Amino acid sequence: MIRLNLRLRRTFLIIWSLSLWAVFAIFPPAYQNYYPTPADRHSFLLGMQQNAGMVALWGPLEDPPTLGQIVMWEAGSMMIILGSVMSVLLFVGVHRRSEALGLTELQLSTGISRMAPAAAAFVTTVIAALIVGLGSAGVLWLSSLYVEEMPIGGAVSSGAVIALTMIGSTLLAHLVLLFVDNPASVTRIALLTVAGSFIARSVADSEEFGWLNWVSPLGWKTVVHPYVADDWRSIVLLALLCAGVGGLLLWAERYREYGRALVTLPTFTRTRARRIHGPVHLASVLHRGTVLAWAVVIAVLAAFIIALTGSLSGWMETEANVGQIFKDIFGEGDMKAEFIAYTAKLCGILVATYGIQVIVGHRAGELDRTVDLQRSTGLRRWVPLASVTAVSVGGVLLGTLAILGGGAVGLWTQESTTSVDYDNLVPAAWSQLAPALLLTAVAALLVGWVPRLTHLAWAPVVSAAVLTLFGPILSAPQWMIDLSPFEYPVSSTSGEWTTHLWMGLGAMALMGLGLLGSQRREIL
Amino acid sequence: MKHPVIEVTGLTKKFGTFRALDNFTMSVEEGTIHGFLGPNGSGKSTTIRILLGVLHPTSGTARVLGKDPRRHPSILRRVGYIPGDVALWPTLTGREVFRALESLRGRPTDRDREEELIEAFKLDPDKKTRDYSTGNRRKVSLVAALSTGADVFILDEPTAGLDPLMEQVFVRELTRERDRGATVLLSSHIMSEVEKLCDHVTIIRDGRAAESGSVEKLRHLSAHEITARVSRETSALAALPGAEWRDDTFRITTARDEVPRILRLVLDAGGVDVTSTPASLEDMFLQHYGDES
Repeated sequence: MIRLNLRLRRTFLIIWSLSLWAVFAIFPPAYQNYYPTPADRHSFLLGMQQNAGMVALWGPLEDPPTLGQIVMWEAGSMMIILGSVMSVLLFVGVHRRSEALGLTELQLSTGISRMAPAAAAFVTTVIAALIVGLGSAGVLWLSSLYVEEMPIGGAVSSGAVIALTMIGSTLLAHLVLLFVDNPASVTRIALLTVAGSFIARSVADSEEFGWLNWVSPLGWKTVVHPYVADDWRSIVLLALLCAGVGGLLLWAERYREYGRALVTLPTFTRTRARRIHGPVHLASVLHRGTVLAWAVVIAVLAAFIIALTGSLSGWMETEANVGQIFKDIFGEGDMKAEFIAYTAKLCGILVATYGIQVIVGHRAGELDRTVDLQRSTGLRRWVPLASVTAVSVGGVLLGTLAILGGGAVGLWTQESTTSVDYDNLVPAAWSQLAPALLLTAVAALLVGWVPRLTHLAWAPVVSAAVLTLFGPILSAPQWMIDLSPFEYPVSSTSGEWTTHLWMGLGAMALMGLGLLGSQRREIL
Repeated sequence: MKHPVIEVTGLTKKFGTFRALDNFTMSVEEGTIHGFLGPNGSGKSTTIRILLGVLHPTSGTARVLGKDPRRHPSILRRVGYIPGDVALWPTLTGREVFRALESLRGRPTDRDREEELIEAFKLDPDKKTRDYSTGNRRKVSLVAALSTGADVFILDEPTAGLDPLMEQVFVRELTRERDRGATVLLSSHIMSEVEKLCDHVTIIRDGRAAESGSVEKLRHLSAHEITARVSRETSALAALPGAEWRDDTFRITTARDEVPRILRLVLDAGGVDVTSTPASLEDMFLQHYGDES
């Protein structure tokens, strides 16, 4: 079964692994180029240590600020988040999704043990995690051939922590899914466990609740201290923890009924059937779980990160070179305003992500033929995609309001907040609307005209995220960074809305074209 | 002649170099139940998806109630459809699916008829569709389609997954719809069901119409079954393709124009208790496709 799982997910594994290694390989030379001397790296360390917002995002930086540690601090954090998403998607795909599709039933009919599919799914994920971890260690070791301060011990412990984090995230998702009955929600809830793990890690690092890092798999990097302490004792403990929890979860699987939760949580039971008022209402009923869950995550994230701006006031007055480091990251201008804009951009990327997710869901409906069912009622051909697009636009709007609301709550909790901060938050949040709509519209265009290329709908948002978050570090030319639609934030004193107006008009045009495509094409 | 409600003329559909339909023609007359038979992959579902406007023909025309559903999708508001693979929205209950389709169709459903069908099919409509068995999901689509009061029904394997009792209910309810004046295109593999229900049949093979006409006419024109007790197996009888022997009973299904010659061979072989009857639809189907297996 493990071999079958690996065979079925071969393309997924190859694409994810190669992409992660390729992205990881870019960072060591980029950081060496950006912080060439020990003095530069020391200034960077001082600045980052004092910025609770950055600590919340990527974790703590420790003395001495070696290049290896800086690589693992930011790029390593991205690696463990993306690696966790990969391993969770893989596990859910070969386990609960496979059950929902009836494929596991086929496997069980051959007389294998009831636990075997879950065990095979877990071992498949462990193998994938080990491959990614081993490859990442290899990438870091190869980097050490031409980049200083990246000893092989750090590379190996980094690879180990990446693999362990992927396994830990899978186990966390597996644990939560034992309480989830609805097969339509398993992927979403599993991904939300990664988001929850990130928030727990952020709280642990910024509020100094060290124990919480043991609970959150994304916090295991902080526990191991790659390139600083390379704490192999912790690595062994975490490996034992994974083995123990994995064994317990597989034992629990014996008692879980096929396709059901181990323990069904009480749910609100409707006494009357919902009235569905037309195609848009149907699309909103079908997608509102995704939209609301993401909006809540974004609001919490915005509130939490922006609440950390309170700590900015202190370090803004420190050494000039520290300030320079932040100017490099956030740009020129008022540091607090720039940090609010940076947080809004980060959340804006997430808003675009779920806007796209809703559109991509329409293609899934075409493949499972529920769109045929809609069309059989006499709807115009473009209506099903238009309905989903309308819900997606509504979701993007809700996400923008979540940035605004969450950010306002975050500022409200801080004594140092002034009215200027609110004045900066409002345009910063609204300036995420047009970029998110534009990227969502690209997805609608693709689904409308070339549904076979639906997966490419993710490419623009991934590219925009890389350019916005890492463009300066990777020394990308400014014209290239400016290609990211998130590069046009507006504050009370800077930025202008003309670009946003054009982006909004572009989004409407692309959506219109997408609907035209869906009117003309067949559903294959 | 009655007015054709579904009219497919010279329909060709290519997927790359593969011809799923090849100049296929079919006509379904008003107020009839028209059986649509063919082996797997013969082009039945492709035809049905073109009739829904979901696929576009490479050439030829497909019309429902006189209109091309691709250009005039609103004509489908008068159509009740049951898909071959029942796909429902897993987070909605059965009743919510009825309401959703009603609202999409923009025509009120006959609620009394809906309740009657729910009762007849013994369906609990207040469960989430993800919790239904295959048969119950099928019942949801049957109730949703049959309660619309549609002028036309396009049914793709509508009884797949139903138990024999529910199949009987289906036959009864569909006959009732036909008696009301509705026209039905019924794609099915269950020959007894088609024989019981259908007035006309089209058999499709490799994307082409192999046979078309009334069930009675097809039976008489296309195939006869001959049985006889024959004491000795002659070489002439043994050489006949499709001849079967069980103890001393000889049996063969053959084309109508072959009947006199075979009867002579049977009598020459000393056959007694000779019968010659129009073949069942199943025999007819096997006569067309038996050699493929």
